[in-house]
Amino acid sequence: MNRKAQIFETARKTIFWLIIGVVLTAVLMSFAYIIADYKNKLTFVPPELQAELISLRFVNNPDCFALQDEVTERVYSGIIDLAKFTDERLRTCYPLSLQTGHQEQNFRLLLIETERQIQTRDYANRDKFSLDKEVLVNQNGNLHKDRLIIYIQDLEIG
Amino acid sequence: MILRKKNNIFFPKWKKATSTLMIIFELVIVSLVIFGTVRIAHAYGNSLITQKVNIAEDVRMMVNTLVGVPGDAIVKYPHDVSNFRLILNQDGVSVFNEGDSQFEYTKRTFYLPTGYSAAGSMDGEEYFCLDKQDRTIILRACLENEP
Repeated sequence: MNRKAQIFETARKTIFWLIIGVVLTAVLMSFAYIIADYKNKLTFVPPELQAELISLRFVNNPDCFALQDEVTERVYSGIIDLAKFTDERLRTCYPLSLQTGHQEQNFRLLLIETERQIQTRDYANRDKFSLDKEVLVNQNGNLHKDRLIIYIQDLEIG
Repeated sequence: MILRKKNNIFFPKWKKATSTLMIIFELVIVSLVIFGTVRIAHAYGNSLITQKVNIAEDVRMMVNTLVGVPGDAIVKYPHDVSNFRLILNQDGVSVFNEGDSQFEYTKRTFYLPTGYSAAGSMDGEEYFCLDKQDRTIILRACLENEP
């Protein structure tokens, strides 16, 4: 009888600590997850804002697509020089890393009226959201209104 | 009488010792759980980590904005960063505290157009400025007469 009671007591304690072990691990992991999630919320920057700030260069920077007077070097913000609107130029304007570029925001730029499209190297046609800008396009010295649609691909698409 | 009863076949001496050991074991486990929970909470909840991430994100956005500005520009970061150290280079920005190991640095990357460069560091100064001159972006302490 004493031997049986002893075995029962040992088994009872073992089962108890097994259950407590699982519960405590779950509680600790949940706690860590909740705090990490809270920290992420505090430091979250909307991808739309980041994309908007990056895409400023496309229409304002003469090293990207903005028109620049060769003589006076004046930059015309919001006017796209169609001669510059190429894939190669986009890759020097926004030079993503060969190794990690696919993890960053990738862009596809489409001029609606001009019907010309360019994209970054790792763009895989998986648009997440887009930005719409009204621009002027300089084509052989002639200006015409156009809409620049900037499609953004983000790693979070999965 | 009671002692005699407790030392009989149903309440042996080793049983009392086991119970005491179990209580100590349980106390140790509970203490470890509390200690672990507090450590995790402290590590994640430390506002310095959040501040480091926010400063790094802000600098990245400021650099991207400056790249999108034609011509020269200067912008002042409006918060006190004297508790932090910052390093700006071609690939991104690192924010850390004195004594942090490389593992603890908060880093954010950005992509400058070809021909552009970024450089500069901050070590204990209150406010910093990002100064864009032609194709160079410099991180430095703000001068008295700057914005």
